[in-house]
Amino acid sequence: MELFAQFFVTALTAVAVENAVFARALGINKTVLFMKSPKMGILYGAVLTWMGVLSSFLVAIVNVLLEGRTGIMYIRAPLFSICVAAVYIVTYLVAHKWKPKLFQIIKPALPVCTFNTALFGAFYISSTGSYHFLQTVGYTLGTGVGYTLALLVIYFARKRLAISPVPRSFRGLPILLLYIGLLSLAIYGLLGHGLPS
Amino acid sequence: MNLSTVRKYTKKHSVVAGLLLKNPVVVLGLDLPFVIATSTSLRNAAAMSIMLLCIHMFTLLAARFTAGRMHRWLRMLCHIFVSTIMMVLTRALVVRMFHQDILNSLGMYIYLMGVNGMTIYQALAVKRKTPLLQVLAAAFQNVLGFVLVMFLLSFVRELLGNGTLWGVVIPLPAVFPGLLIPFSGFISVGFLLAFGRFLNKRVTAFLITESARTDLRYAQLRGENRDD
Amino acid sequence: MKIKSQDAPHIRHQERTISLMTDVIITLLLLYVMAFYYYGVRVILLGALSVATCLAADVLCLLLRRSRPRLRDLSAVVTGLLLPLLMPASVPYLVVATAALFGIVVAKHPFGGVGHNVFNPAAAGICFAVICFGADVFFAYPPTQEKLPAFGAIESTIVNSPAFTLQLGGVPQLDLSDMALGNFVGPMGATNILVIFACLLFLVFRKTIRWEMPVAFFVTAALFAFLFPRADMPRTLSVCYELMSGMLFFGGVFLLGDPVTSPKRGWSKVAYGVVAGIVVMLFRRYGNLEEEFVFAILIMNATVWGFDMLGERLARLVRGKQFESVHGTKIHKKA
Repeated sequence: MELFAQFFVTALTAVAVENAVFARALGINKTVLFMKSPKMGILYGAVLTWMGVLSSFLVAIVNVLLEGRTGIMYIRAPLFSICVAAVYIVTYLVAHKWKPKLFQIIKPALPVCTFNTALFGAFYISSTGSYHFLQTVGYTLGTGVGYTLALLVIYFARKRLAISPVPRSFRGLPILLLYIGLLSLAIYGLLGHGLPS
Repeated sequence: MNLSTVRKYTKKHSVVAGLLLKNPVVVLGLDLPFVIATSTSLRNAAAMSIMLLCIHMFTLLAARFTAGRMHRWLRMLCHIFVSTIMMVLTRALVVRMFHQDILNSLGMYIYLMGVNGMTIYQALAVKRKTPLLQVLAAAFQNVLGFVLVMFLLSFVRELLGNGTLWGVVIPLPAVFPGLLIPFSGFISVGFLLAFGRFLNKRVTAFLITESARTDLRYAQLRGENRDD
Repeated sequence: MKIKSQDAPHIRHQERTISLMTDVIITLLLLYVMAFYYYGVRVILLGALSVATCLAADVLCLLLRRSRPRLRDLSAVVTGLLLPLLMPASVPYLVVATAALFGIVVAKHPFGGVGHNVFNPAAAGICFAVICFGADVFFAYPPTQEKLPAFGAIESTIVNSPAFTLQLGGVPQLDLSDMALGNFVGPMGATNILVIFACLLFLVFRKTIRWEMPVAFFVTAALFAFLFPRADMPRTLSVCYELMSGMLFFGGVFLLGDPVTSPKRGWSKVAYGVVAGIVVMLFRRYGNLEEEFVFAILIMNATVWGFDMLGERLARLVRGKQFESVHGTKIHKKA
């Protein structure tokens, strides 16, 4: 029971307080900042969450194997990449062969969302924080959900900013970054001190 | 209208377009996480720049050789493999060059360089039969663009946020530690990009008025010659 | 056709923007008089510096944007007057100047200036100052009735506010009548509860702010404090302490009700007030700082557009149903 409570608390922390986008600025690039519709944001978020949760099973096993060893910093990164690559290959081939319609929908999102700094960030946090299996999965799930919510917030922010007379130099990316920065300020105030990295 | 001045400027500028008008960070929006979160001191910027230089150049070199020879998904995995190996090797180098405090302050962002968006995006964009030197030159220009933005932001954020430059204490009347937190990174990048656009507008406006003035001068001269 | 030029925010009420601003300025000046009575001339100097910095930054930004600075635009004065009232009277002058600069240059003008800003500039400035200068500077309150020196270091003892006690899970040992009259430590302008209540009544009477939002906000906050007291004390006492400590009452009147950064329709305002009440109380309970109101306000400001959209859709639905019931035909939606 306590383990499940820890799972939920870790997931909730990853969604709200240690949000991948607002607290750590992970996983953002021009594609996700300028999405054409909220459906695209949900798609990207869903793909990231799916790949993340599946990879987190393997990553949790890797963390257990590497615990207590010296020099893990040299083998941890390649092992994480191998875990994620394995899930990527399986998802790609299974979707390509058996679910072609779904594959056509997720194809543009797959590379961006699999090898994403937000996901790998979640893995490194779970590794340095010595999270156990359920906590790793919970944290990665929370990161994915938090990332999806952040993308939706950014989409609606763009819609709101489009109706303001923003100065010409600020239109587009700069004002969006300022908006995200002020939201990040508000979320940082909730936490009040440095984030673990 | 005499556009020779504008043409001369655009021609000279296209050589360094990768640094300014097509800067990969602020214009193409790549590698934003690193610029926002780690540009808090000049030494951090130097460490991240060295990491990106090695990872990016070697991954694009590998991309040149894998282009057109295998499926896209397999290419993707090759690039990730090369960039992760390069990240591990470069980190070992950076550990020897910089103090442990720098690495502690960078935290996991050094590891995340292995999957940085700029390398992945540019590697997938490399086409078959592109000259090797062209690929390397474009890669170097990308890294220079990143370095420029990182050092500019780190300079301001370290000076005003910590009162130091490269670890040397600069006596200032006030410091604002809030500038070292990621939210300030977002705001700083936004202001940097807006300032860059503002400058670009001023330069373009100046060039257009200059060429109009040149036009007028030529017309006046031709008018005088005809009188003679 | 006569086209009148009017400043944003374009609110369909009798009054114009300038009368909104002057009403708020009058109430804020009254709070400055009360703070001057408790803390001395330093209060006036802080206010003057804040207003001067805000005005200078505003004029500079307008010139950079190639707009003419207008004398009738008093929004920078309002922001300037709001800032020191949310800080302790012993706060250094630099903190006030930083908050003012950040609020105007980052939170106001890049978003479009007067009437178009998404985030409340005063709240954004305070948030930045809290994070830059830390809780040691920001939440260190001098005792009341002690006149502070205008310049130089503050030598008076620092007292913990009731908000700090509540955050630790303790019960503030204060007389409620003292709290209502402002005879307790806290932000300069936020302690005079009765005066702020009078200001609220004045502003509602003058239709500067609509009554729905503050009422919904305070009722929700009171209900939350009643149902979930932070310490072991009678529930009614918890309600009193929660509402009267920290920036909550002041913020609920002046920051939440800002016509630019709040929803426009009646029902949206009520919903916004309720959600704001829940968010503020949750932030207070689970946040790390003793006063999280300004951070919660920034997050609520980001959701205003959503409340407006939902309010519009609800209004359209209601109007559609009324039309059907009157005319007996359905409204056909345009393709």
